[in-house]
Amino acid sequence: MVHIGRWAIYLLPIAILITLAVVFFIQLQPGNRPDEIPSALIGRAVPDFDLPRLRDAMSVHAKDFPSGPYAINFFASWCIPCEAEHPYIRQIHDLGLPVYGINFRDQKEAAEAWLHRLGNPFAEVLVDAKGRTAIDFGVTGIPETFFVDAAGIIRWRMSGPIEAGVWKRDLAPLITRLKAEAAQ
Amino acid sequence: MRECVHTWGQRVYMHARVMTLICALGWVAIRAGFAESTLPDPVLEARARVLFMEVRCVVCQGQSIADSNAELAGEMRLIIREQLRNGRTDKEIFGFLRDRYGDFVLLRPPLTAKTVLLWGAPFLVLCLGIILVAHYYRQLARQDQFLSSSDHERLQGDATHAEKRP
Repeated sequence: MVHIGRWAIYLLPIAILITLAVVFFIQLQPGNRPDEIPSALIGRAVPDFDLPRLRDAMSVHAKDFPSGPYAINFFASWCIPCEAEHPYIRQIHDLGLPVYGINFRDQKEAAEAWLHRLGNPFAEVLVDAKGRTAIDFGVTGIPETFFVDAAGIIRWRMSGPIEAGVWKRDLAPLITRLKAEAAQ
Repeated sequence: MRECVHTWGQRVYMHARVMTLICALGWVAIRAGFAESTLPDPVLEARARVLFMEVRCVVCQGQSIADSNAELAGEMRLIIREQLRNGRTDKEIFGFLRDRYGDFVLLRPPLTAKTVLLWGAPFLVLCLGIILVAHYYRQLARQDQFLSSSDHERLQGDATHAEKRP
């Protein structure tokens, strides 16, 4: 049997503590934090919704989107991080992936003014006034961006504003991959 | 003109009544400001309150939606009340939320293959601790057995020696 010295009894908790400290330190490094809550929707079809368009209140369902991969971005005019990530939404559009914006708990005039000021990269903007559709998507805050493949399956959920590290490491390659898959 | 003279005691009493009235009004006003429309059926509302304690606020993740002031928590409370009114069971309501947010949305995660380690970990650590401590003390006891026979005699001798002394 293993001889456990007196020291071991004292050292073992300290060793566990140091191990945990190292693990936590690594996990808390910027760029190394994945979704705080992993999305329950990854690998599943886009939840159905029925939302009015911002511009003319016409009703839109998930199946009305043209076929092919796309992104869905939940945003609002009152959301500062949404403004911060706006250049990346533009980049998604520039890479050739359509982005559909869902305006979350906002005012029509404020949303339109925001889009006018920053530019509108969205293929279409839908209005989720009460935030019900956001709950159907498992949204925990905004901005959140979902990446959907050509088969309508959610492949990735970006929780929080897109920033340089995530864009370079995860999103730009993901978009390239989604488009390549669709081209086959 | 006759001056209205109150004793000190009377004045305190009057102030106390006014303060109580102000506090009561204030309390009602604050409650009204935060009031949500509760369900008219008290049984359903009681069920709702119990369910709220079981659902995690995904914005302020340490709280239940019963405690949280977050908008999303309010929306979830609204949805749960609606579903209760539509006759859903607790299981169906939890299923609705788990479907969208995953098991993490429940403050008491269900016991599945994935969470059995979560539930069992405290017991495992406790058992490990008990085993280690028991092992350590058994070791100590075993070391006592290694006293030589001459040491034993000395121990015995000291004891009888002590007894003989007046």
